[in-house]
Amino acid sequence: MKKVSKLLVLVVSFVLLGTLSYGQCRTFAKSECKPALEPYVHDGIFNATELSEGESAELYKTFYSNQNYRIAICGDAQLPKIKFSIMDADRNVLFTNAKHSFKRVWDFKMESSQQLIISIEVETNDENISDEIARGCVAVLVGFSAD
Amino acid sequence: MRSNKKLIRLLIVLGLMVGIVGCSNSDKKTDTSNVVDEEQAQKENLVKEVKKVMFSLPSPVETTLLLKQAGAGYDESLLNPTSNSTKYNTDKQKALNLGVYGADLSYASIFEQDQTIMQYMQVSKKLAIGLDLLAAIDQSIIDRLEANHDNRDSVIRIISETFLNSNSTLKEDNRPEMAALILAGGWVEALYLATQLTKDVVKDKELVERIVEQKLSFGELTQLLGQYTEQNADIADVVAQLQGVSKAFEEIEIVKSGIETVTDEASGTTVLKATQKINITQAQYDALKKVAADLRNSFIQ
Repeated sequence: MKKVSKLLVLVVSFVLLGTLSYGQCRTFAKSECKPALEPYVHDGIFNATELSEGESAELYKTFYSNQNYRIAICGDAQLPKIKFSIMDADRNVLFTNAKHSFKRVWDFKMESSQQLIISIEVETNDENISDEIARGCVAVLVGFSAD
Repeated sequence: MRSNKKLIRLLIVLGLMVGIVGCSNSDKKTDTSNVVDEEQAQKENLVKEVKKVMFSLPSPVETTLLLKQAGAGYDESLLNPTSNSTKYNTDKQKALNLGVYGADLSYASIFEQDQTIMQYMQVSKKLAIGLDLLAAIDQSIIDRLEANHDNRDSVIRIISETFLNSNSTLKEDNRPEMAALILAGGWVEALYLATQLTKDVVKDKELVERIVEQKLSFGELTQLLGQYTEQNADIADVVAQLQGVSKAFEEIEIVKSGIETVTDEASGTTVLKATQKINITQAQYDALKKVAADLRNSFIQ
């Protein structure tokens, strides 16, 4: 019966850990990332995921002509630098923050509506020699001008 | 003792299932076959390394704002009547129509229709509660909306906040498919409003272009829903219902040039320069308008 209890605790912990970490991701995105969109209006969509060092993710989104946008990328404090690149639908790179001191926001305007790919990648931390791989929330929020 | 072993096995299986469900949205490796040249191979390799893929739909606030900028007017008779809300009993109906009412709310907010905004926020709250999303639209949101009803910018920000609360709470609760249904309802309602407000492909050229551009986000909508079709029958139904819209969009051609970037160093804003040409006939537009109306009316029944 003790084994059963231990396993039950393990399973419940596993479930709670997943829920808790996602909840922290939401809180993080709202408190740390959303303010970076000001004065743009957040589009209301929650794009966030947990990433480890060296992992990457992509977000596909359509942006409309004659509209001003801001993309804000945020990562947990324990994560190394986050590289983000903007590509067109043919995967030609239009912008990368690696050439701009890894800045967190990018403002742009479209002359014609396009689907763009926002690629985010957590750099590996070469300076910190450790067995532990840093892992945390990365959020990608999009704001538009409501003027 | 035998029952304990059975229970242990059950718990292990349960744990594995939870792990699989929790990760189902994250590991989407892209096919890297059919590499044709070195440049393509590099691009494909880039995709191969990517582990997580997300799709983001336009906010109904943004879509309705674009419609207004393109010359659309306000027509309250197009909205899904709030009295319909009592008919929605299943989670699928509640989620789709929370999206529909969210788009109606956005449309009313862009045109500063104070009374309608409050009515549609109240009905959205009711559906949100029905989906265990009490925190998404709580009384403080309603109070803030009432206090700021004469400030369009504040109203838009409050509505965007409710969208963020809804879809982040659902993802947090491991119900991303419900968030996808809400987004689908909102996307379809925005298309319905736009097409109902637009008649002629020549006279309403700018509006028609905005509508046709939804072909791009339609791709994102189907890919978003496609992530859940196997495990969720409601999503599979909606994907099947979207086939009419898919066929109508397939008939319409968008020709695009490559993108050139120009950055204004003073403002820090980059302009993505490109051109597009939309080839559409009146018959193709009328067909799109009809399937959009049929689909939306099936959602709100």
